[in-house]
Amino acid sequence: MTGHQEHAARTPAPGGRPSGYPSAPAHASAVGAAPPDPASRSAVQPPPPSPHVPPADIAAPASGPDGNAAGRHVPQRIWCVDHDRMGLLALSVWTERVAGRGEDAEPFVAHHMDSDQGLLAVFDGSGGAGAAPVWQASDGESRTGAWVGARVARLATDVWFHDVAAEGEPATPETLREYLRFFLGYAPQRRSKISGTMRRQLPTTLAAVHYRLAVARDEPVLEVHPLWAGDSRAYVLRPHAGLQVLTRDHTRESDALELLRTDPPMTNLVCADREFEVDSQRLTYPLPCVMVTATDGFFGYVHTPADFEALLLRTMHRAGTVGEWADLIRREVQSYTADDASLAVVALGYRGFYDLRAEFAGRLEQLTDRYVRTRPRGLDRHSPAADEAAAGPAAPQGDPADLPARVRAWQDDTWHAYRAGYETHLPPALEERA
Amino acid sequence: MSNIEQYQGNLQYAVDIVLCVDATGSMFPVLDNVKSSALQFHDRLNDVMAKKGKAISQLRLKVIAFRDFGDDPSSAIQQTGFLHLPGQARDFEEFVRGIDASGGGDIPESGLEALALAINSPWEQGLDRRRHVIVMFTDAPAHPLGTHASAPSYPAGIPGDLDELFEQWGYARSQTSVMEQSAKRLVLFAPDQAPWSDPIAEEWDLTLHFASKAGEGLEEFEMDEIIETIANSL
Repeated sequence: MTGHQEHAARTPAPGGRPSGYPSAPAHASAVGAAPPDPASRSAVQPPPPSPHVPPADIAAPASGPDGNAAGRHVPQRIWCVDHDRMGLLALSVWTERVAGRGEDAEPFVAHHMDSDQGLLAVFDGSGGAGAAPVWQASDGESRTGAWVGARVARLATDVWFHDVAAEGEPATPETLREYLRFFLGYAPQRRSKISGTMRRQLPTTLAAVHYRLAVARDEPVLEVHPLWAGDSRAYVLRPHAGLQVLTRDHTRESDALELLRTDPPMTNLVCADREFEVDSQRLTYPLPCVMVTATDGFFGYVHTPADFEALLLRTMHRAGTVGEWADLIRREVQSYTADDASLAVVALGYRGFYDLRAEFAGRLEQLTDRYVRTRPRGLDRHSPAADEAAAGPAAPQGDPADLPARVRAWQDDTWHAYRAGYETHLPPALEERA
Repeated sequence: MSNIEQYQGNLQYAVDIVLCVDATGSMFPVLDNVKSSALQFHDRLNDVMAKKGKAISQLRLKVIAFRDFGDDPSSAIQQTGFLHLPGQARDFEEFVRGIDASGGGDIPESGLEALALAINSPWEQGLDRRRHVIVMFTDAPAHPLGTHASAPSYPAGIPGDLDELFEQWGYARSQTSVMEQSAKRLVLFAPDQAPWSDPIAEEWDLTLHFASKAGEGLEEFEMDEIIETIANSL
């Protein structure tokens, strides 16, 4: 299955190398899904092969109730799939801060049935580095390098995953980088009168998780392979451990709270005119497991890193279906973000959405107690009401001048408590691994 | 504090901008336009930022008008402190209106001294999401630092050469930087000549460079483009 759009078959690349592609390659073909049998959680057998899931089984892109009623552009899209029988739940959310000007590409989600592997990914075109217009669409709309870069990177990632799943291409950061470089090399570029070290041609972040179902000691496990460049992130979300980041932002700062406060520039991102790295690490998790990729529109405008997990679990708790979950996520992120925001989620091994929701109920309660009910009063709409505030820090009412200091102290305290779990799988910096 | 004014530290940007303006004779054709546009700077930057979905919690502007210590040391540097906008808009306007395009002597100007003063400005250290932006407008190359250091009005503490100025600008893991690495940006509207294009635009980090033609002012640049560039650099 793939997200958002049907895929047409394309000509295979000679030798499986991107350099053999025609100059205007079509999208990769759709791939089927063989997610884990939910029963395997209590059984020791690996999941049996499941039949191909045709595109018709995929829920259509949907807009929220405030969508296209007036015939105007809809600056958000959600997409989801819920195959109870197969233990696969997936969704994506894509929103634009300013309609028509969004520089995030639509999230990518695909699962290949025959080889028991999949990919979820997000792409955030970098407006600061790629603000110059490089392409004019057939409708006359001018598009920036950031807009084009994110979409070309999505296409390259789509083709890369097809070739990994169906053509035997090694799933390594090096091969993904070659696909990105190949496709970016064929993308529209325009010589700009702007130069300087901040400027990039077709700059975009990429955060992806390539996963594969496997068997270890007779237990089904999930091999997880995050791949990233820039400051978009990948996570795993589990009931007892909560949200754990798998990627380290390519910035000079690595403390997630300090990143929230300073929004520093990136030191590495995908682009067409300079060298870049695709970073990676390999991990293995027991099933069931939830994987998340997100752009900074989701996690970069919250008050503390725990807020992003709270958003995911609070909306999950309120939803009755995976589609409702996606819509609630979309509504909530639009209420606070100051950026385009995109997110992809794949959950494997749950017996449908109710099972997923039930598994995370305890974690949500714990998270709410520690990080939501303790908010300084007056911070935002999630602040405790007067009758709930006893659990929080002393917050004299009517003293708004103190609020920034109280917020800062609360951020420091909650981050201190949350950090160890969140950073359990944070990889070392690139230079530390060299 | 109203609901609208609730704490938004993670959502808003505290922006300090230092405008370094070449006020020598060759800038005459364009200086009125630069001045006029500078006076609308606050509103236009806010508009562009709003369209990008970003808000400014605090905007301070500082102006450094520079000419040439080798021509007339007494008028080589004129500057304001940081002015809060819109509150101190009148002070800002008064200073900007008083800048005349005159003098300059030979072709190179004292632009590096202006850049050194800008780098060492008293930048905002509080608030979240700080941005410290230096914008250089010039149509000329620059004298090497220290060329006219003996002039009586030459500012104290100016680095002795470009390498020392680079140390003050800073780089990855720099211990000598006086600028905050995550906040700083340098936007150059300057000719494609040393020192602006090479080494500054090519080697210093976090730079954007619009190349102008030496001696022909900056007329090819519309202020909209300049504002857009600054907003995109935040």
